Amino acid sequence: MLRVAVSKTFRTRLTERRCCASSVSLPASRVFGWFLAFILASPSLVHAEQNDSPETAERHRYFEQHVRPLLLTHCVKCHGPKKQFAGLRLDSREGMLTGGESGAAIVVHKPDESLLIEAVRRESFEMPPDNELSPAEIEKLRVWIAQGAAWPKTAFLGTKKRAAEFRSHWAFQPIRNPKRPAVENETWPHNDIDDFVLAKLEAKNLAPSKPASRRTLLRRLTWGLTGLPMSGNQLQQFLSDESPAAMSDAVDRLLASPHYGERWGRHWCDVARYADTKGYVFFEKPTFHSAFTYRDYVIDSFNDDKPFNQFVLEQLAADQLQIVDTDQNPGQNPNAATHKTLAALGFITVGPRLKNDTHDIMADRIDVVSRGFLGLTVGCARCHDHKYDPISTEDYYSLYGVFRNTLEPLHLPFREGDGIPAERQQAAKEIEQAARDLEDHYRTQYEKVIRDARTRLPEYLSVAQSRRSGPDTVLFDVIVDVDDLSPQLLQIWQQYLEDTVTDGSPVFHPWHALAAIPQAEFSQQARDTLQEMIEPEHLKSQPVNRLVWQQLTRQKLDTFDDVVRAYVSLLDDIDRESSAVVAEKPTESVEPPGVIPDLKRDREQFKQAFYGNHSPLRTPYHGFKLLRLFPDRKSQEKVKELNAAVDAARAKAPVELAQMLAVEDATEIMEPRVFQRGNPSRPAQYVERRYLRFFSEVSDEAFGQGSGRLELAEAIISPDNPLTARVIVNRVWLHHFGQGLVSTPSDFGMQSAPPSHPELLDHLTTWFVNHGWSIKELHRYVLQSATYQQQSVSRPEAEQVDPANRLLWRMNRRRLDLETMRDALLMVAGDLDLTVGGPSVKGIMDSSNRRRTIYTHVDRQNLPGVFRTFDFPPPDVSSGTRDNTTVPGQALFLMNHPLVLACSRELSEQAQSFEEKSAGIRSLFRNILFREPTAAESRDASEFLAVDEKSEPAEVVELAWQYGHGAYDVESQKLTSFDPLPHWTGSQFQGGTKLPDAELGWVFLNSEGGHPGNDLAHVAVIRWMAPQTMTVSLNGTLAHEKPKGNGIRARVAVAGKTALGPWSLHQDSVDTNSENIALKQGETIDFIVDVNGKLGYDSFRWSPEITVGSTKPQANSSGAAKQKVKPDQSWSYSKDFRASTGIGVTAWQSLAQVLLLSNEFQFVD
Amino acid sequence: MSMTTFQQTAFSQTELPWTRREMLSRSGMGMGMLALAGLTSEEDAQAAPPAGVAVKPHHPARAQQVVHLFMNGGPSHVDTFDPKPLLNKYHGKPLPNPTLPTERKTAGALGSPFKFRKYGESGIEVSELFEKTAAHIDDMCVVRSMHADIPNHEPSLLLMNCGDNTQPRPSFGSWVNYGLGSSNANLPGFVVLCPGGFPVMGAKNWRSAFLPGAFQGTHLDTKQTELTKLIENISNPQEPTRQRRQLNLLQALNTRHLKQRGHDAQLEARIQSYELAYRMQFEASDVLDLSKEPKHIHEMYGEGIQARQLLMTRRLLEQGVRFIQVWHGAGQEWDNHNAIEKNLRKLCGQWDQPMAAFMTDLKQRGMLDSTLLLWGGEFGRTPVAELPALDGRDHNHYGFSVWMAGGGIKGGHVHGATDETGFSAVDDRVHIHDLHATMLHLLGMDHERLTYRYAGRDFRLTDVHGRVVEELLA
Repeated sequence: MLRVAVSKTFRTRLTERRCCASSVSLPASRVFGWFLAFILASPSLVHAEQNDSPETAERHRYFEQHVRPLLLTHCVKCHGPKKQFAGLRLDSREGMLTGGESGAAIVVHKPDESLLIEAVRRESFEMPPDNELSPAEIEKLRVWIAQGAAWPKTAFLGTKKRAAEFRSHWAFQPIRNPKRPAVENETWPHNDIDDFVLAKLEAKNLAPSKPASRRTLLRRLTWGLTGLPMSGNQLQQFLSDESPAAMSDAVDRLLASPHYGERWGRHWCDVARYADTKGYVFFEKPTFHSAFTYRDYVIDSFNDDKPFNQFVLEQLAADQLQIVDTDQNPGQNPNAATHKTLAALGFITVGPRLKNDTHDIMADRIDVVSRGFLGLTVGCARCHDHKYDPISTEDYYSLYGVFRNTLEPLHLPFREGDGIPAERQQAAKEIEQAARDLEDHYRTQYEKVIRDARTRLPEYLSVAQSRRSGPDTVLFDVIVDVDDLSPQLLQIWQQYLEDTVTDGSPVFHPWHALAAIPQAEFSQQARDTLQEMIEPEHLKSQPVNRLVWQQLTRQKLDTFDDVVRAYVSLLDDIDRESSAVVAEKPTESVEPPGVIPDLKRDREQFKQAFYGNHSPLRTPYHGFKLLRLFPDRKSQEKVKELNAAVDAARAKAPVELAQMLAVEDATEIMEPRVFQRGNPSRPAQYVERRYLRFFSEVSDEAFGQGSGRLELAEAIISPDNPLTARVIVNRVWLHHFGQGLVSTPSDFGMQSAPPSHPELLDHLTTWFVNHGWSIKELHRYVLQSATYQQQSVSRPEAEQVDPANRLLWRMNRRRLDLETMRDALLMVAGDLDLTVGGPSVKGIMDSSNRRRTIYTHVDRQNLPGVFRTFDFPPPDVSSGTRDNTTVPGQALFLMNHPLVLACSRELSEQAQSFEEKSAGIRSLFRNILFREPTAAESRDASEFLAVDEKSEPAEVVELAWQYGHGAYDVESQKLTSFDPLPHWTGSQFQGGTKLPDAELGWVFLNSEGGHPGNDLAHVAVIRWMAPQTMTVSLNGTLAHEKPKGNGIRARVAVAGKTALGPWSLHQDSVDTNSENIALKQGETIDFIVDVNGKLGYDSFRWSPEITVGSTKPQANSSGAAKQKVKPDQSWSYSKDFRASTGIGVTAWQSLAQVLLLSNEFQFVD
Repeated sequence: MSMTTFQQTAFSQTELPWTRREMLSRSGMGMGMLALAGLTSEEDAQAAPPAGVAVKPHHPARAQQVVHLFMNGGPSHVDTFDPKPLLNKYHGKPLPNPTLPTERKTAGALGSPFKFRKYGESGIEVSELFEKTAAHIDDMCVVRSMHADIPNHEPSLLLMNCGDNTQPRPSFGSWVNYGLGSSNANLPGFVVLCPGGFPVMGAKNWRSAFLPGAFQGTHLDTKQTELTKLIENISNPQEPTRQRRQLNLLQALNTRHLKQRGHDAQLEARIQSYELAYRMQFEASDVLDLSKEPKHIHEMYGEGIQARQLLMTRRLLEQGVRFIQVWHGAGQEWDNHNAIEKNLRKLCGQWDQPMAAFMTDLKQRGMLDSTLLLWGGEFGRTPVAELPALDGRDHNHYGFSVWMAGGGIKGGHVHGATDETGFSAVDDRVHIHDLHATMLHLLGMDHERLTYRYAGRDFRLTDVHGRVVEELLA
């Protein structure tokens, strides 16, 4: 049993971190007499906005009391969530600042320049159109703007009606525990579930369906819980067990099977958009390193029946939890369980990497968390407040902040933890070293950039300022030289300067005022501009930092560069002074001599402007897009190299050194900002990291612990959260019944379909929470119900009333999905490898891949067609349901794919071995459909077989070719061994899944030719066998094309003796023709190719044709393809080429395939 | 709502007078009506089933089918359809206007080595490289003011093919099939011809993404000449008579199975899909068997892979395939960073005769009016020469050309212009989103209403962009 505890060490660490961040020493300055007079004359000069001051609280009260009612009554109806006349919204501060068609509605601190005031004064626009505001009301708006347009963060300015709508939405209401409804038919229900279902049926005068047969039930259960077909033995046992506990025993047995976790783990993998590759990335391998550690974690969690709330916690914040293993053996590492749980964090990172675009990656994470756990489409609020749900852009960016400060370390933890045995230590060290090298490379560059940020501050400031008036270059990855300024830091500066305009920064006010002067007039106007800004009238609305002002007036200002210099030299002074103070007297509250206390604030304000949390000079490591640190191609090469080294070290390591896709919190937290219209180059207000504001009963505080992931996770599983438990209960129901009580399992918002059985959903949810969030308990409860155990047969009278079966008057019939279809084929053919867990296997339909389908490598970049043909969900986003299409592609696959043909063959071989034909037929039905054939079926099958028996076997053509390898003895000029190539890739035969194969090397054969193995013991051999005694002729051309290497050597052996060749070819071709070759039945012609002494560039093309009698190749008659019958007397290597399974489809095989294709096999009743 | 539910709802026998054939084609390939009814998949349970009402397109369609001739790699517009004499004047010297940022380092102007002259009554100037194609200029509309977003192949291929350069979105062909359905139930509605395997970005270029899998493109490796290698799982190793008997046995089994279970549209659809697949084995072989074409047609199209692809395209069009995309090849042949003169002569040479023949052929069969042709790449190329070789051009998404013809397109027309150097589109600019919107319009669909609800919101091919360029319409 695993229990979870929030790590204490984590909380401690955080406190320390905060202390570090706030240790700032105080500055000193000199003051001049003339300046003193100015200061004394204007006491209200400095207007410092502080966040949590009583002043702020007072402003918020002012807003609530005076401003909000005005906006609500007069503005929001036309400029709010429902309508946005002139593109303008007045229901948030952001909306006002963004403005509409005519520009921003307000200029903070400047009511008289604000369009809003103009409009209500009816100077330009005349607003509100009908009811003019009173002068007193206008004054309120003026004051509010003049004081900074404060807007409390929690204000959700919807209309009252809308708020009420949200509140009354079924999914946002607390989970209730409804009373079991009364029903007429009291004998039908097995448990309370049935009462809820039956009550609805009875209301429509519908009766439930009869119970399913025991056979149907066991198949349904086995498929539903493990995704596998039942076995004959299990069926017999179940049928003969007449005890009342038979059903629950079967459920227990299946829940205890390790294959349960595979089935339900796969359902969760759909939600978690699991894939083994990253999608579109640069400079790194597109395959995740060991994504399977997350998939295995999911499987284990289901098998262990991990409480779902813990499952959520771990997937979001395993790094901040301590898992206590109460069953722990003495001597075991107490942290082992905690360590292994880090694999859970793959949930966050296993998504697509979208060209490494940070903002899109964050969107992916917000989406998977919000739809996956909460059934809320928070992603919609990336660009605008959610159209239907109470989710604001602030909410989106609050969560953005959580994930933006969640980092993926370059060195990922080994799953083995501390216990890496000696034989793997070296490999582990190499991986670690490679990752550190990459990390060091990044860090060194970051440190250089951030050092330069200060030492080259004048350059940054002046370039950033000049670029602000230039063209928008944000979209380009600007190519620069190595010694250039960092383009990203320049952008950050540009943005920062922009922000200081918006928020009316007293430090930068002089900057912007001076920047507005045309260059030619600069030296004349600068003084006047400086004088104007300290006019009392002016200061009232726009405060000015006195230190800056002082510095500027002291200096000669000829060009704007002098302004830049003034700011920088002021910063230099402050830096020097503070370091001097620290050096001399490392105590607090040291006041440099001669400073008027009043200036302390200015100095602090100035320091904040350059060293505060949001200053570009303090851009943290993760504030850079890592590749933007290396903007030129040359230095990017090094990054590529180091990345490749990490990949290489990992590739070399044994599978035990799998690393988990863990994450960790950033050490310096970047506060998120709202991006207007989702555009990162238009950042607006800062927001707290916190839970969705509408659900204040769940969590109403800003997150403060690191990134806030743990707090987010705790909010999601809070007992007060109305969504999480409902969402997972509905998902479980969906997989048992084929449709959810809520048919939109990942959207429980206002647009969702209302539940078909709202009371039942709440009943189940309450039951689930009361049973410790145990999914297995929930299964037991649901599977025990009479509702689940109904048969699936349609009833016309019920179809009339409820064709979609929303009321559950029967069980839904289900088509096998991709995974269970493939698993079932392999299983009944006796070929399924039931190993649990481990690395993903490539080649979903390769004949060598016998693992369950969940272990197939999922390449989100290039998903093989068969996935989509069978409705596998696109692994790029979280999926709650799968499509269920019926397309000819599926039928083509089942009719013609080598895998299906191979399964049919294995099944037929056993059936054929019975002496009695009828016994063979029975065995096929038992093995595939788990029942006896009916008399009619038996008769049809025998007739089918009989037709073939009467006619000649038509498949001689197919039997003729074999694709193999062998050893060639040059001395005796004989092939001393021949074996078929064991692995079929779908297009060629070769030694194994990989080329070169460990044993057979490079040898392969495809339809056009192939490649010999590495030496004479592994030559490539195309073998043709005479189906009867005959004389044939041979036609064909052998070619070698590659310029490199030394070419190939080839021979043709007839009946074991070399008859033609040898030919040595290098970039050359030769006709390999011969006539009048007499062969007895079963004798062979071998086409043998070797590397001619040296391996390398030895691909060859050879497509021999063999014709009986005449040398003339048969004309390819136009009807050939349609007829699909080749002329009896000619064989073409290329045209006949196919997987070995295609060779000789016997009537028995054909019959076995019929059963595999049958709806009875492909659908579960 | 899942398809299952839809089928169970919509195909209730008591309500609907549909024939079995209609019903089955709707459940599988012919799902066009779903889109137009606004009915969507996963998360939209509230959408009412269409309840037997045949839904019409948003407005009358001018075109029924689309052929996209895709010159992947980015063909040079200033050497083909957008003459710029200024480049020859400044050849080797810096251009007068400031150079826009390019992917790689570039130098002075590179004059086009090809002669342009006026063709047709419209007198539109086309390079000698396409003189045979230009004989059809009065049926063609050259858009010289195209622009895209990014000068890299990968994102630009996705933008052109799926309307977005990063996110996994359904391809243009999938959208069209989703909107209109296939008019041949024996063949896929969206066929992608690409010789030599998959191009850059692979199957993403024709994926259905979140649209149902039935709408994804079916890729044919047209380098192959044998049917078994052209379509996945198309060939059955049994004799047709045996396979027929096998299917008969299967259908007998399935029919009994169905009878015991009462009505179930899913089961019926599956029964029918085996029949469709069986027929497809032969129909596909027929349509792809070019030996059925007479000699004079072969001669008209000429030699080579492109000729073969276009002939196959015409045969697929005749069978009602809705959307056919013809790629130049799996590589990026049109990515002419160097030796542009030699390369363009070769590339255009491969297309000119077949393309001219293809248009002639469509016209003589009366098919051009209902077929919308698009020719172009993912972007264009710079008017300046790329360093260090100075005989090729770099990527350029600021301005490039495409041309369209057929189905409702204004022939003999030039739309928009690049600046005098050919660097950026300046007049009547057309973004890829606008191109998509316009093409959908000609197919009878409003790009703002062709939506699919997925992951909680409605998606469109043009996302939140795009406008119909009325000037291109006949």
